[in-house]
Amino acid sequence: MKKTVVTLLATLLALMLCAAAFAEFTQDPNDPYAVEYEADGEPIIIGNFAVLSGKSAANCVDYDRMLKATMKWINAHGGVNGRPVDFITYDSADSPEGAVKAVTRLIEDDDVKLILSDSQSADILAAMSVTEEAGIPMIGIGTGVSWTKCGGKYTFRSTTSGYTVYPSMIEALKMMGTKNCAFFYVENDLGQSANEWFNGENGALKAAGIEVTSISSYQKAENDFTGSLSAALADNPEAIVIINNGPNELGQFVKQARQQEFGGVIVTIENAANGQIPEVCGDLCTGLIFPSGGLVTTTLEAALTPKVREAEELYYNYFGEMCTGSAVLRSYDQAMVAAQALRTCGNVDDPDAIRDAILAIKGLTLAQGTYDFSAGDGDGLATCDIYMYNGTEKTVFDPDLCRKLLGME
Amino acid sequence: MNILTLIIGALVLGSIYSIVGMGYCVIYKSSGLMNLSQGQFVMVGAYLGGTFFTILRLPYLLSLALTIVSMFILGIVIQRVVIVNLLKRSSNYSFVIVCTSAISDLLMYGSMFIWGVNVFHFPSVFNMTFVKVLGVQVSPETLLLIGLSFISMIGLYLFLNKTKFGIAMKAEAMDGMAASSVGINVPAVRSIAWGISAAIAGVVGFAIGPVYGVFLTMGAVYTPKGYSSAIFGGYGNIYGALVGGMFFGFLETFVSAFVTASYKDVVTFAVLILMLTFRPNGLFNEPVIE
Repeated sequence: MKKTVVTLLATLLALMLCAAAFAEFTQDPNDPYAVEYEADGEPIIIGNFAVLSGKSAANCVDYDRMLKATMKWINAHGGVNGRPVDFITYDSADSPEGAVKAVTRLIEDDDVKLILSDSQSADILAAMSVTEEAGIPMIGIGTGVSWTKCGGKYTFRSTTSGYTVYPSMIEALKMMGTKNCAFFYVENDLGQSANEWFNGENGALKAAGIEVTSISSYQKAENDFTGSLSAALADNPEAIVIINNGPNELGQFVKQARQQEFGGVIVTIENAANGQIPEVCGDLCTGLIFPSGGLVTTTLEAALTPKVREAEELYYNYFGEMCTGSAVLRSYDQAMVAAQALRTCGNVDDPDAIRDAILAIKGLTLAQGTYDFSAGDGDGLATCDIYMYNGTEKTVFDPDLCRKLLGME
Repeated sequence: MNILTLIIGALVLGSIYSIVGMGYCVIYKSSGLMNLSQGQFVMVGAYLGGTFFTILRLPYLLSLALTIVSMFILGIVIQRVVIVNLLKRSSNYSFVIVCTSAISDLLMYGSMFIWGVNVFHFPSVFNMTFVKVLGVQVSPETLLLIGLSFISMIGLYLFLNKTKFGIAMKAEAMDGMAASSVGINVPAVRSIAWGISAAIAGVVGFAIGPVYGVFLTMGAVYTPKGYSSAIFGGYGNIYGALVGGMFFGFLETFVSAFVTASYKDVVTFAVLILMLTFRPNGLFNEPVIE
C-alpha cells in the first residue's frame, strides 16, 4: 500500500514536471546549435568560449545563440570562400579561470587560429594573457575598458566600449543639466574600471562639473538595493549613474529606485537595451537613459538601419521571435568581423595573416556602426548613439521629452 | 533616509531567510539531518509557481495551491526515494548531508533543463504599481511576500501545536523510539516533515517571483542565509529560525544603508561565526541532537 502511494505520488510529480517542461519547450522548438554546411569544403574551425553556466549565464545565453545563428547564416550564404565555418565551444563558467582554461585548451589541444570570446570583460582580460602570448587573434564583445588600448596586438573588440559609452553617458547628463549624481557600480572588472574612469584621479564626472554625492558598489547578481539606495537618495542626487552587469539587476535597481520615489534620470550602460528591463519594471523604465551601438526594435519594419534589420531578420528566421536585447547585435557583428577577416586573410591557418586582415578592416558597416580597426589599438567602433525609455518603449534620447516625462519642467 | 523603507526591506529579506531557516529546522527536528537543498526548494517553487501563473495562466490562488501541493510531493519523494534508501544502507549521516548537496545541484540543473537559463518574470499580481503604507511607497507584491511568509509561519505553528499530526511530529522529534512505541508512524512523520519543509519553501519562492524575478542561482543565495538564520536561533528551533531570519534581514539591510553594500555578506557571516564561537547552541540554546 505504502509503495503504491509513493509510486503514485512520484508519477504525479513527474507528470507535473513534464507539463512544466512541455510548457517551456513549445516556446523554443529550434536548435540553433546545429551548423549546416552548404559547401562541400573542409570546415574552418574557430575557437569560442561562452558563458554557459554561472551567475551571468542567464544574461549571456542570447549572445551564444546569436553567434551560432549568424555563422549558420554565413555558411548558408557561401561561408568563407566556399568553406563553412564551425566552432569548438567551451564553457568559461562565468569566471576568468574558466576562460583561461578554455582558451588554453583551444590553442594547445584544438590548435585553433582565431578565437571568439564571451561578453565578460574580466574573462577576456584573463584569456588575453594566453592568446597574446600564443599569437592567436581574439575578437571580444565585452565593453570594459581594461583590455583594449593597452598594447595588445592580437585582441580586438567588435562592439562599443567604455571609451565610447562612457563619454556618451556624460553627454546625456550634461544635456539634462545635471549638477550632481549618485554613482553605483558592480564589483567586477567592468564596474571597477568604470568607477576609475568616472571617479578616479582624472574622473570624467568631476571634469564635466558634475558633483558625485555618493559612490556605492554591489556584488554581481544582487537584487535587493533597499539599503544602498536609501543611503544614496538621502543626499538628494539629481541623477543616478549605474554601471551594472545584467538586465535583471538593472531592472530591480530601477524598480526599487522609483519605489523610493526617486524622480530623476538614471543613466546606465548599453545593456539597458535588453528587453528584460521593461518586463521587470514596466513603465518605471521612463527616464532610463543609455548609449548603445545599435538598438533592436519590436518589429522588423521599425528597424533603425538596414544592417540592424538584417540582424533582426536573421534572429527572427532562426528563433521565430524578435530579439529582445540589443546586445545580440554584438554577436552578429562578432561573427561578421570574423568571417570578413577569414575571407581576406589569404591563409586561414596563419594567425598573423588573420590578425593583419582584421587590422585592414575599414569602412565595414554592420549592426552597431562602421568598423575601423586600422588604429591598431583593438577597438573597431569610435561612436555610439544615446537612447532613452519612454514607458516600455525605447526611443532616441531627447532631453526636453525626458524632462517632460519625469515632470522635471 | 527613510527608516520605514529600510524596515519594510528588512522584513522582506527577513521573511525569506526565516522561512528557509524554518524549513531546515523542521527536517532537522524530525530526522536529525541538515538538508542543503532547502534553498533550491525555494527556486523550484518559484519556477513551478511561475509556470502555473504565467505560462498556464491559472488564477493566482490556484497557482499557489498547486505549487504547495507539487512541492509537498517533491519533498516527500526526495525523502523516500533518496534519503530513506541511503539510511537503510547504513550510510553515515554526514554522507547523507553531502548527498543533499548533490540533490541541490540536481535541482538546479534540472530546473535549467526544464526552464532554461533566462530570468523568469512574473507579471504584476495587482493592477497597481505601488501603494502607500504610512507615507512610504511600496509595491503590493512586497507586502504579499511578507504576508504569505507570516501566514506560512503561523500555519506551521498551528500545525505543529494544534493538530494531532503536528504533535506526533514533535513527539517523534523528542524521542523517535518512544514515539514509535506509542503507535506513531515515524517514517510517515519524517516524510511529511520533508514535504512541509519543501511546501513552505515553495510558498516563499512563489511570493518572491513577482518581487525579484526567478533565476537559477536564487537558491544558492538563500541557502547560506537560511541555515545561518537557523543556526543563529538554535538549530532545530523553529522560533529561533524565525528570530534568526529576521535578525539577518535587518542586519543586512541596515549594514547596506549605513556601512557598506558590497561587504554586507561579510558582516552577516562574521556575526554567525561569533555566535557559533560564543553560543554554539544559538540564541534559544537549542541542544544539538546526538
